[in-house]
Amino acid sequence: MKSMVKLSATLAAFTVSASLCLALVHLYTKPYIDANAERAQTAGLRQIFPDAAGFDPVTDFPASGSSSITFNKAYIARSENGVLGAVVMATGATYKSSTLLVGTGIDRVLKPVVFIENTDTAGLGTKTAESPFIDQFAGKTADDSFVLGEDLDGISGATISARGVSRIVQLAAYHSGAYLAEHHGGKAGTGAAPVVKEAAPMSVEDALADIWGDLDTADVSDAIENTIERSILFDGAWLVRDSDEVAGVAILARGQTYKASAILVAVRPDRTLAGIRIIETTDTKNYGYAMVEPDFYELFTGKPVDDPYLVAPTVSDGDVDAISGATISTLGVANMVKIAAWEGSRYLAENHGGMPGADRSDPFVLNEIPQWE
Amino acid sequence: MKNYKELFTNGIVRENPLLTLMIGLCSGLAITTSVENGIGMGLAMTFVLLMSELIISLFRKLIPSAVRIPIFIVVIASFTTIVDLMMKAFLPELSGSLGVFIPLIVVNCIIMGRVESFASKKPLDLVVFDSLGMGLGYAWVLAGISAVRELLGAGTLLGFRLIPESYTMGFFAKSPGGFFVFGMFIAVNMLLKKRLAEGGSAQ
Amino acid sequence: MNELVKIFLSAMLIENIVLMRFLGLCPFIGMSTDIKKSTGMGVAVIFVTVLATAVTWPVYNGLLKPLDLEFLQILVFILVIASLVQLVEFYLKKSAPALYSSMGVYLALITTNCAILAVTFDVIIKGYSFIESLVYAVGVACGFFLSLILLAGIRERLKIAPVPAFLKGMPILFVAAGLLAMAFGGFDGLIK
Repeated sequence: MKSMVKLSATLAAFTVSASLCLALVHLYTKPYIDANAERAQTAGLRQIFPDAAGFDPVTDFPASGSSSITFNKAYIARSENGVLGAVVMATGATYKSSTLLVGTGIDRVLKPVVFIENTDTAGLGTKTAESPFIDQFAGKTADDSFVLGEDLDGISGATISARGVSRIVQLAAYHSGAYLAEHHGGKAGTGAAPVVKEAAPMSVEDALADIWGDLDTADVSDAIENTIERSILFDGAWLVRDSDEVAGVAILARGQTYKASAILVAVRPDRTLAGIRIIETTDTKNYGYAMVEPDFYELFTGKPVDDPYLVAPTVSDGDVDAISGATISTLGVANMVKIAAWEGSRYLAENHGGMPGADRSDPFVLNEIPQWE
Repeated sequence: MKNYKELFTNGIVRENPLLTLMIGLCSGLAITTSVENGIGMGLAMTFVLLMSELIISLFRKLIPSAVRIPIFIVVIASFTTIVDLMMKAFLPELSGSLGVFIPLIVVNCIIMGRVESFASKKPLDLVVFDSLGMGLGYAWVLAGISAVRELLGAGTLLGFRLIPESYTMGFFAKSPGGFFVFGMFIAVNMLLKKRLAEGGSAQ
Repeated sequence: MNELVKIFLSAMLIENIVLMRFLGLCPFIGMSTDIKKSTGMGVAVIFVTVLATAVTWPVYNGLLKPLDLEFLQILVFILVIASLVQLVEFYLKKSAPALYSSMGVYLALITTNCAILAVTFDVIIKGYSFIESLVYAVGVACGFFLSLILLAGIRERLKIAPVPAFLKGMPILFVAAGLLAMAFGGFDGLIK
């Protein structure tokens, strides 16, 4: 027993003296460790406002207004002369996801944008974090339109990433400007909040309203011939009138894409598409699912019904560009749109004086969708 | 004096902890992606080894055999913590890139093994040379492996670019490369030892 | 549930503790000489890892953190693990001698297994909840077990393979481990 006590006492003695030594070292190093941590946190912020004396976290910063973009943190950059501007750490959907620091000056002019994280495709989407793309934002104002091809240059092969990043910057800048104006006497903005078209499937009603606005619609589903062609089914049709004139017809087509999708195809009497909208899709997120992006479906607005609707690069001179990494999805969509467009045009020609199509006995050439073995 | 030299060189080649005794491997392979990491880890481990061996040798008469393992653990863990705290405070980038492997020095078999088999029995002066030899033996192998992996995997050496980026082989920067390079080092060391032994016996 | 499955799979396969993170190598090399030894070691590791995590997690989050004693983490954790293993060994010897004779001898070796300490540190760094930590621990230990068994199988074949002289023994073993690591590298991207 006595030896047990002696043993435990020795062990305890060592442990206690060790802990005391550690406590001393800890007290000595703590200030340095804390300083390092603080420096790491504000490193990104300092890149944007190098003259700032400090950064105050903001707790009442507004939300982005878009479901795919979140403002994680916001700071007000201060100097001894007053508020320099605001920095927002925003995460948003690009091809996959990106997290950026967006700095806006009190004068609504943007500072250089700094990337914190980018999970897009290496060599393609990650180019958004490199010059010259990333340099374009510094010097823009929060009121600019932020449209690729207009006031911004895109990146070929990485359109979704580029558009995603500019969307994030635009919203962050707009809300920073508004916040600074409201709380710190910043310059007031000129425009309304940027409307970010949600990249999500929409209901038939919303789709009809999105394409044609507030026009009268009538259900004409029974008038549409439902031929099951290439696993495509017509699940409804609506005739749209603008007072007495027929604006067009919209057909809801369900069919096979990578998995399955439902697309509303809107046709005008002059054999062009008023547009398409994705109502449902179960295709893979970040691949075929990208069909819900306005950047994809807007490509069909105004497209002639008589176009071949063949997908490039599968067909070398195809007129529909495949979604990057989602060729099968695009093939399916193109076929569905074409067949629905033809049927819509036929209906309009036969019933409402629409332009008739060229006579074709053999229905058109469709994209070959590779089938799994 | 001859004794010291032999003790010292023992750890560097003959009984090199990584290549001959095959202990303390864990931290070895994981962080050897850059020479800076390799040297940093080697030095950190040597510090813990040296200080632990010193303290335990100093107090060896006071450590009862029955609780010696826990006491060894306390001593080694304390010095590991000291290294960890000091690095976090004064070498934050190195601490960040070595990450969880600094705390893992505490379970580095080299230290525990050396302390148990040597430091608890031998006087201070011998212990100093043994720990320095073992530590250096560990460090040079780490530095060597890191040099190969950094040069071939990233094209740089200590951050200086030597090979253009398009010629680098990512294989070496990833874990399979680590295994391969380490296997080669062992093979080369075995060959060297054999030659040395043959050379020695021929004389 | 989905999150837990992700944690488990990534701990076991994508970030396999031996092949991708180089932890737990000593028993990996020493114990994989035959499948029977590997099984014993693997089971012991799973048991100790989960137990160690189950004890160290509350100790950190309930004791060290609230009292601002995080700097004692290394010391406390390793002592806890060492004592835990002693206790388990003691208890096993007394109450389940058959189990002890098949698994007990490995327990002592496990105390300095870097993989186990690494797991206890990981769950703190990753900020996992208690349940997530346990799932992670099981995943890591299963990954360890898996790689051990695989290497043991390879080793048995290596014994009769024509290996060049200078690669015989340890070197070829590491090359084999490297190939195994390459295979496991293929799991990257398993979880989107």
